Formats: sequence, structure tokens, C-alpha cells
Amino acid sequence: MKKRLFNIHKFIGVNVLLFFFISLFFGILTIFQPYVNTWEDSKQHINDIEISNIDFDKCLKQITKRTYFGEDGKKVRNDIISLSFPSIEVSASNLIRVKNRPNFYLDPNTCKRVRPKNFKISKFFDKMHTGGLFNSLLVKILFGFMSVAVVFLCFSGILLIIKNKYSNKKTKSNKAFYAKYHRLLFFYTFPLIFMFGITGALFNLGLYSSPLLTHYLTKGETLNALQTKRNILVDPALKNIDLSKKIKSISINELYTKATQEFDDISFYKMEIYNYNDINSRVKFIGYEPKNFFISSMTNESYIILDGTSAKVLDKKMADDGTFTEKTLDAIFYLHYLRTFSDLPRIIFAFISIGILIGLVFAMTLWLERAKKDKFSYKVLKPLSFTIMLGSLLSSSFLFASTWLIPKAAVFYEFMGKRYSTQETLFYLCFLVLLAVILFKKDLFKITKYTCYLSSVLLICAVIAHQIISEYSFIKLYQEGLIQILATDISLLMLAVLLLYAGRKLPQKYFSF
Amino acid sequence: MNKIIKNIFLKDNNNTLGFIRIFFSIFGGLVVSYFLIMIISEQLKYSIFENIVIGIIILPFFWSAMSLYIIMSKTKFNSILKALIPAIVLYAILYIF
Repeated sequence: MKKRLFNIHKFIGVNVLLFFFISLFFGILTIFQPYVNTWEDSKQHINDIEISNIDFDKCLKQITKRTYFGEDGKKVRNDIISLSFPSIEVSASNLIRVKNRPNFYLDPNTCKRVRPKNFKISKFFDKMHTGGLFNSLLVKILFGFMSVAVVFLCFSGILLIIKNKYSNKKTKSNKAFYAKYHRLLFFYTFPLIFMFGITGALFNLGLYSSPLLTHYLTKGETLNALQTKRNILVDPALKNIDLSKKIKSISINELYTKATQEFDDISFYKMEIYNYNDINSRVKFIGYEPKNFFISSMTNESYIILDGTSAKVLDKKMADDGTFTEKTLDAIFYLHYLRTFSDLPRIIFAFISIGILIGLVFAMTLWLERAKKDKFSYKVLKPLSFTIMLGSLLSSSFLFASTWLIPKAAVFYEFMGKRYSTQETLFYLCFLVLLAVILFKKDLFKITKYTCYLSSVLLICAVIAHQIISEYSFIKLYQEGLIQILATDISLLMLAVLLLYAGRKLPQKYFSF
Repeated sequence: MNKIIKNIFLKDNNNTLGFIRIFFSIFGGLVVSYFLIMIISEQLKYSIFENIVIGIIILPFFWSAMSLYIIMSKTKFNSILKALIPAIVLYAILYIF
């Protein structure tokens, strides 16, 4: 019975391992999304500014200058504006984004319109993390099934530990070393992995697994869960009121200070303005409470609605007022989104995730050590696993370098009437080239070594190219107070040095399979 | 014929998983856990969308627990029974109430 439990753990595990590796690797890069996002675009090399110091009247003038047409062909009303504040943690950007206008960003210091890059590697990492490989729906659903399998592996792993009382002795062979650290690393991070599995299944599989349930609960009205009345997970917009009488509204800056005074501890990230300069004008501020851990983040937001003419409080919701479901979901999502985390907790979380990643690599090497060498699955999985694990490292460092090295005219190219991104194509090409190299040259030790060297060279290239092409050198970055970008540059250099060291000191005894 | 009956009903001494166990643990587990979340989310007293979200969140939990329960059965026939009986009982509950 124990043996059968072990077999099913192995069987399911080896099938989903590489998907989980991709998701985890790019998830770790997504933790640093705010820093990468500001680093990769020279137009975003601007100083952080307190939200209360932004001149909102000037910005509103800039927004209402032109009329836009929505998706339904109607004019977007100029007096209804929804914008997200430049909060680096929540929206991963230091620009003001106008949400109901297409691709509309404002510099918070000067209130001038900014056009950021169209292809951003920080967004691309997020796409890879959620399973957007080759932009296909099938891979997305596969990633959803993978997260269900992760939950299963959590259960069976815990059951294995309970049934076979393992002893954590000092190990002699490679196999025992891998087994011990795979077990220990995953045992201590068990709640985190369990939560990743549960939330991942909701994100990627939720829409496709809910039709039957929706059909049953709504008594046959609809199959789509999103068509029912949504009161959680999204904040609904306020009801539109037609314009009636023109009255000058209070300036947004005053309303903002009034809104912050209503709460003890608040950080706003979004604002919605309805009927500005009208008698019915309302302004809604949405935010989270930084000191209220685990129940105040993205799904249980606190908000306040103010009257635009008299600054009276029309409606107010604190994080503690949320319903039971909202609080529960928020507690579950809190450690997955990390949207309300500041710098240090993010870095600590990233280190824990790197621990999980190492445990995963040990699981793969353990399987390779134990597998029979003449089996078909061994012959397929050995090159494939090396391609994915080394390829993720190589191609993501390649993306960092190519962000600055590719000239502006060549960022997109057209092929068969469709527009593709050059960087994305090169990213996939990296994997293919590495697979070819692994298939022809069978010496895995040397390939691992040279991949480490190559990716560290690419990272150094990325930093140097950033210094030269963006014209922001270390000294200029320090003088202008752009500490986050300086820190990103330095940490990329440190990572490069670490990879060089790892490539040099790599012991050959771990490549004996 | 005799061989097939022996294969299905008697306790396996080898530790291979086999098609029947894997099939019933994955699909049988899915059916049983889906019926279970339908019953659970019907009993909740929140709005319909909230009930759906809670049901979908606990689905992987029940699915994997049920799969593990089915795959750990001693004989192949046992694993079929473990999938079929709860599915029929839960469907009857859904149908009657």
C-alpha cells in the first residue's frame, strides 16, 4: 500500500513537474514586477511622488482635452474618469493610468501624457506565470489542471511522510540527498504550496469548471458564472446619472485630503470620478489598509464616496465591514498577489519561493536518478527537463538584455499579416536552440556550466546597455534619487556574479545519471 | 474469463497502479467531488456568485482527497465501488431535494 502511494506520487508528480517549474520560475520574476517595470523603460525613470502632491486639476485638463470612442462606438463621457494612482506596489507602475481611455498614461510630476513601451518584459513574465505560453487557451487549462495536481501531491506527500517515518540522517549518496531535501523543503513550505494550488485552480480553471454549478444554482438561467450578479472580486461601478446643472466642484486634491482624514490608516490606489463639475458629482476613492494584515488587500477593498460639491461622505466601507466571503478570499489571496507588500517582505517571499524551486529541481533529479535508463519516458524527460530548467534561466536573462539592445524599429515584425513581438519570438527560439544543443552534445555538465556563464554575460550586457542607451549611469541615477532603478541594476549585476561563481564551482558528481 | 475475474476481485500483490485505478480515481473523484460541492454551495446563504466562487475554490480540495481515497483501494473492484456508490448516493440527494 505504501509502495502504491509512492508510485502515484511519482506518476502524477513527474507529469506536472515541468509545468509547475515554469509557473514557479516566472512567478518569482513576477514578484519583482514593479522594479522590472520601472527599469525597462526610460520614460518611467521618474521620481516617486506623494499622491497628495500631484496637481490633479492639471491632470484632469489633460485627460478631457480629447474625446475618445469606446468599444460600442459611443463617445466616452468626459466627466466620468477612472484612474489608478502611481502606487508602485499595487499597480506595479509609477505612472497615472487612466483606465477608461485606451493606453493613456500620465506623468504624475508634470501631468504630461507618456507613451510607455508596447511590449514589456514584466508583463510577459506575468503572462508566462499564468500559463500564456504561445497565447493558447489549451496551455492555460493545462496549467489549471496542474494546480489541482499540486493539491493532490500535497496530500499524498503528507500522507507519505506520516506513513513512513523518515529519519533526517546525514546522507551518503546523491539519491538520499535529493530525497531528504525535497522532503524537507516541501514539508516546511506546505501551506504555501497548498494555497498556490487552490488559487491557481480558481484562476485558470474557475470559468471552465463552473458552468454545471452555475446552471444548477441559478435554476437553468445561465451557464456563465460571470453573468450572475457579481458582488465580490470586482468593485462595481456606481450608477450613471445624467448631467443636469453645472456647478464648479471642489478640487480633487482637497477631496483626497478629506478622504484620507476619514480613515486612520489607508493607502488609496484608485479613484473614480462621476459627473465632474455637475450638481450630482461624486468621487470614489478605493484603497487598502496597510496595517490590517490578511483581510485588507485586493478582494476586500475599503472605499469612500464623497459628494463633489459639498464634500459630504455618501458611503464608506472599511476592511472590517466586508462580508465573510470577502474576508476569507482576501486571506487566501493575500499571499499570492503580494500587491500590498513593500520591498523587504517581497524579497523574503522571493527567497522562500526560491527554496520551493530548489525542492522542485531536486524532485526532478531524484526521478532521473531512480528511473530505469532504457525506458522511453527517461529518454524523453532527460533532455526536456534540462531544456526547460536551463532554458528558463537563459531566455529570461536574454529578455533582460534584449530589452535595451533591440532597436526601436525592430520591436515588432509582421509575418503572414500578423504582428509579432521580436523579443517573444527570440524567447521561444532560445529554448529550441538549447534543446538542439542538448540533443547533439550529450555532456550535460558542460552545457549547464556554459548556460550559467552565458546568462551571466547576458545580464551584465543588460546592465551596461541600460547605462549607455537610456543615458542613466549609476552616478546620474544616484544623483536624481532613482534608488529603485539603481538597486535593480546592482542586483542584476550581483545575480550575474552569482551565476558566474555557480558555473565555476559546479560539482560534477551531481550529473551522474 | 476466469483470469479477468481473478484480476479484478482479488487483492493485487504487485504495486503497479493500472488503468482502472487511475481512471476511476481521476474521473470518479471529479464526479463525486463535483456533486459534493453542488450540495455544499446550495446550502450556503450568501449571494449566488459568492456560492459559486466558494464551491469552485473547494473543488480541487475535494477532488484530490477523493482521488487519493479511491487510488488507495486494495482491489480493482473496490476502487470502482468507491467511485460509483458515493456518486449514486450524492446524485440521489441532489435529485430528491
